[in-house]
Amino acid sequence: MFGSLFKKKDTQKNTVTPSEKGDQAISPTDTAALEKKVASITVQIKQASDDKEKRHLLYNQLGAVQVKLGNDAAAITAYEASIQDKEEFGDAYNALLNLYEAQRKQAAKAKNDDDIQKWVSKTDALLDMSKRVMRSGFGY
Amino acid sequence: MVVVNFIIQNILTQAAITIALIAMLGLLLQRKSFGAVLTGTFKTLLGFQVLSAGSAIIVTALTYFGKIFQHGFHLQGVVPSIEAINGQAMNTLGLGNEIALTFLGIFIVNILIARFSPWKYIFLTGQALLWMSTMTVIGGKMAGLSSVWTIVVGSVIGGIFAVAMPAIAQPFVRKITKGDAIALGHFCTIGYMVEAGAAWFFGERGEKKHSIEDIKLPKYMEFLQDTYLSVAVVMVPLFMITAAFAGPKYAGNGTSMNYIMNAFMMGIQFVVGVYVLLAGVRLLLGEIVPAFRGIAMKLVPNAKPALDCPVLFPFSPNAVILGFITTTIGTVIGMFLMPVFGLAVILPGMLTNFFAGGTAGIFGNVVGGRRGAIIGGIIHGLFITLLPALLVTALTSFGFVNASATDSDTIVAMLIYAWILTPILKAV
Repeated sequence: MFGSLFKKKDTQKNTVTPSEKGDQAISPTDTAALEKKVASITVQIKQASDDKEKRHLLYNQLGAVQVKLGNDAAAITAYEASIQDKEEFGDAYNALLNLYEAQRKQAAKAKNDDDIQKWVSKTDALLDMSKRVMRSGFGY
Repeated sequence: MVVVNFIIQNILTQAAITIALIAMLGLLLQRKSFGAVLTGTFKTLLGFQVLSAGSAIIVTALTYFGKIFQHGFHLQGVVPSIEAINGQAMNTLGLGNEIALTFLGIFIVNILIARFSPWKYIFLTGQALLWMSTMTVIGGKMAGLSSVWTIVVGSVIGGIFAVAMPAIAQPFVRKITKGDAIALGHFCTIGYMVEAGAAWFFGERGEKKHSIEDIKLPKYMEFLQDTYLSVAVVMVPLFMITAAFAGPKYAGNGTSMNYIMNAFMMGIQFVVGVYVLLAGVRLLLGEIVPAFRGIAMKLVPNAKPALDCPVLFPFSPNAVILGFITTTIGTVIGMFLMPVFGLAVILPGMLTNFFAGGTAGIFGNVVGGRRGAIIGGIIHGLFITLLPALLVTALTSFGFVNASATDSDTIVAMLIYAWILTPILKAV
């Protein structure tokens, strides 16, 4: 009945999460270019300190670059800053959902209860944000 | 012996104590400090008492509403509210102990299945687990099972649902989120499958399939920003209109106050009851759920967390709105349609329509595009009106006041008892 849904299971399973992307090896040249981009965006963020709208977009860009570099912690910080500037559906929410889950898995493997709670609670906060944004007309 | 008897007869029979002890167990297993264990246990105890208070408020308002609806329309008008069912079961019917232990049992069965089977889903929506344990306990008691068997069977059935429902939804969730990291843990999944099935049958396919996300919808949902305001927007006018039909003799309730005004205050009382009861649920689960999910995640490190339905909202917000509207249309049609088939009038429940209807809209849209979501949503509305209508007679005869359950999976779990388990037990 839902053939297309089930047939695509294998390919969907291979969808790369932000964290997994970071694990893929990138060439030193690419790394250098991405690090340069991080520095450039960081400067732009400082310059846009009064413009939350612009700053939140810059944080999203920074988060995406940090994911490519495999810096999950830095990516989380950037995306969280983006959401703090503007709660909306989009890149930050989608990426954080995967990044928190990756961190939660690592904490579970390490049997670190405090970290498990930390990441699950952060996911809970993300769901609360989803409810808030949905009810307020999702940012239109 | 006297002390043991005292403990068994006076302390362990108190549901508030049982559920507080479960929280204490979870906190001790997590090796929390003495202070954390003490405060966590006390908060859980307090949560149960707050829940009881909310239930009492709701029952008063529902009793009044049932009376005026009967006299106003000569029909049985039932409010679909899983909170009201849970509150009444926990308190009025004295099933709190069984519900608390089944809640714990479902968690254990869920962990066991996830640990030893390929289905690694851990159901993390605590409130939904409480509703499932409530319905399985009611089902067990109706089937005539003893308390111990009610808890055992309820734990197994609830535990299977806690893994099966996220597993059934997962192919759709993968398509919606374009990933496989998280799962959906919301006991309305059978309703979502009904919407998906209808959307597949009636919806758009291939190149003709257009997602509702391609359209920019207007901003108009502010009234839903507050959960309680959204309940009030529907319930208060409903109380007042029904009172107008019932007349002052019944709607006046023996007070000197104008009968419409009295209905208004009763409607507000219902909203307050939901507010207090849900505050109690939050307090009750605030310590238990984090404790046990920590344990679950450690025992099943590669678990897939099944999260509450708002996890999907950001992936398809327009479909949420469409699902809410179409499900509401379906529930309104269902309200008029059910009495034609000799069933009770099931009033539309706005909270269910928003959360279950909205999420169902996402499923309808991903399977059958705009047309699928619209037709599927109306059928979903009819389906979630039919299910509680099927339960009314059984619930009323069991002592529930003017309410029926929501959340399709919990109703189906109870129907398994009513339609399969009870006939088997009677035949044996």
